[in-house]
Amino acid sequence: MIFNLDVLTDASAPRRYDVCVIGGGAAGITLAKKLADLGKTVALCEGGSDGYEGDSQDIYAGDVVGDPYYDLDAARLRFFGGSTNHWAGKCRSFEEADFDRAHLGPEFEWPIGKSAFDAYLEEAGEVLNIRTSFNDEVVDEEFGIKRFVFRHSSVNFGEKFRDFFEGSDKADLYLNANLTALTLQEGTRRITSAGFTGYGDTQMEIAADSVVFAMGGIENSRQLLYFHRQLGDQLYDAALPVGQYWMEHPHFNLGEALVSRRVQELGLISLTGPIQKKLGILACGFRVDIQGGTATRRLVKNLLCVAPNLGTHIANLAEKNLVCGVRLKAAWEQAPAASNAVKLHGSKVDRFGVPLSELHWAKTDLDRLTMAKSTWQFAQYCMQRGYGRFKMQDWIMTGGDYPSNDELAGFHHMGGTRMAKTAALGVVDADCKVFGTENLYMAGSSVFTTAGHNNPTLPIVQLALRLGDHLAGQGAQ
Amino acid sequence: MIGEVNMRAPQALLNVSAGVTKLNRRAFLMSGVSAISLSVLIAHTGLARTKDGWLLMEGDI
Repeated sequence: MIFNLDVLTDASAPRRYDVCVIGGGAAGITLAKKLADLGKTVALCEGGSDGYEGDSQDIYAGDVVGDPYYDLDAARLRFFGGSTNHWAGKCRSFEEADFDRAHLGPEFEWPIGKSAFDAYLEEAGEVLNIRTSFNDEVVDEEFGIKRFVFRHSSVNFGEKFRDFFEGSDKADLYLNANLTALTLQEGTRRITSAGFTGYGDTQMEIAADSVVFAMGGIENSRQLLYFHRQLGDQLYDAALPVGQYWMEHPHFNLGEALVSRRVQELGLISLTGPIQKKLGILACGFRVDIQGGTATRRLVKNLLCVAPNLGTHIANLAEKNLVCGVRLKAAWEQAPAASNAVKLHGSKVDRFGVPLSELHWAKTDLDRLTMAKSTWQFAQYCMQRGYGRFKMQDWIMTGGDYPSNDELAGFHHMGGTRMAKTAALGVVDADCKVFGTENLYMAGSSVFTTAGHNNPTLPIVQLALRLGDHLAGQGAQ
Repeated sequence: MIGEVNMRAPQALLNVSAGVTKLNRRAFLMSGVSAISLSVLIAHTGLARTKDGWLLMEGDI
């Protein structure tokens, strides 16, 4: 059933479910449906409506301290379906190299391996309506150049799964249900119920065996920090790094190039795991965007001025359409750093009195090195194999400031309630349960230990399915 | 300027994890060099970056 808390007439008595999932985006919807399919009763509580509403979206406001970033209320969507109401649909999961990071330090180590994601790849493909074969190809072992692909999903989670909740006798969807209270069993860290408030101040209480935060990569941290404070610092151990190790995927234009068809056809390029390890860097994905004849002629003319012999050779190839101009873009992995963190705002609160987010975010030295070394490796490959020449933007090789008028990042909010082997380095364990609590779980990209370079939605869905199995006692992989 | 570049091959530069910004700035700062100077640089390092951003290698000039 679907309920709207703002018009709920019988909200006085607590409602009882096996699991209360808070947040109706990709993670929450996937998890709630999975649990219902496994026979569990579920309340899925979404703070927004089933369409964009300013009153809900305003709750996502906040401040950013550090590097230029998007306004926080413009970097995500707060209504049923979450940010899948407006997303690029690019799907790709973590890679083997993402789990081979111990040489960089313990903060890079996941408590689970790639196989834990792989076990849910097919099922996640059905959720996202995508094929799950990715057909990566190592095109040059020596330079560690790999061609990779995304699968493209057109699924809007709110649209796709609304009918499921409408007709389900196991899963109830509550719209306009904003989390405003958590109750702990006395003397324990067991949540007995969660309280919700609508925009007209209607309130309801949901009692559940397990509670899952699935509110997004910033909101999970904000709400966890807030309720810990509200509950007299009793919700979790104060030493947990809640909000910390927040990550994004920096996105920037690197420059242009004149490259052969061979490189044009690769389209998406990254470095192999062994080369990443050898160079001591993280993952970086390049996109080669083919430009038209005007751009090609401009680049050839420019090259002729500085390297006449090479320019003449390339001009001849360009005339035969064997070489053309391309724009190079990169999206890469950011190192998990404790200093990048979601914090509670010191003075601004939302309409329910919860402090807004204050996001502290800056790119690290390793982030810079990853981009520079990866670009260098790709350029070396093209030059030494005779596939082209790069014309890079100044800031990349000269160490100048990142441009502030570029893409900046991918709207990918990761970390903050990260998964780790121990409570010293993370907030949730391998089962996504908050360390030290009895029944509080996190879902979504906030649990990512590291970020990889791929878009996060597919692994978000994989982990939600895995959490569903765990909560239903099915033995998660 | 040429001497600075001679002393550090670009590949080695990018192996420096700390201070990469400063080192790169010194090594790749080539504004205003003539084509002849560029040839000299390439001969010593195997690669150079022109003032408008082209990454070139020996034999390109």
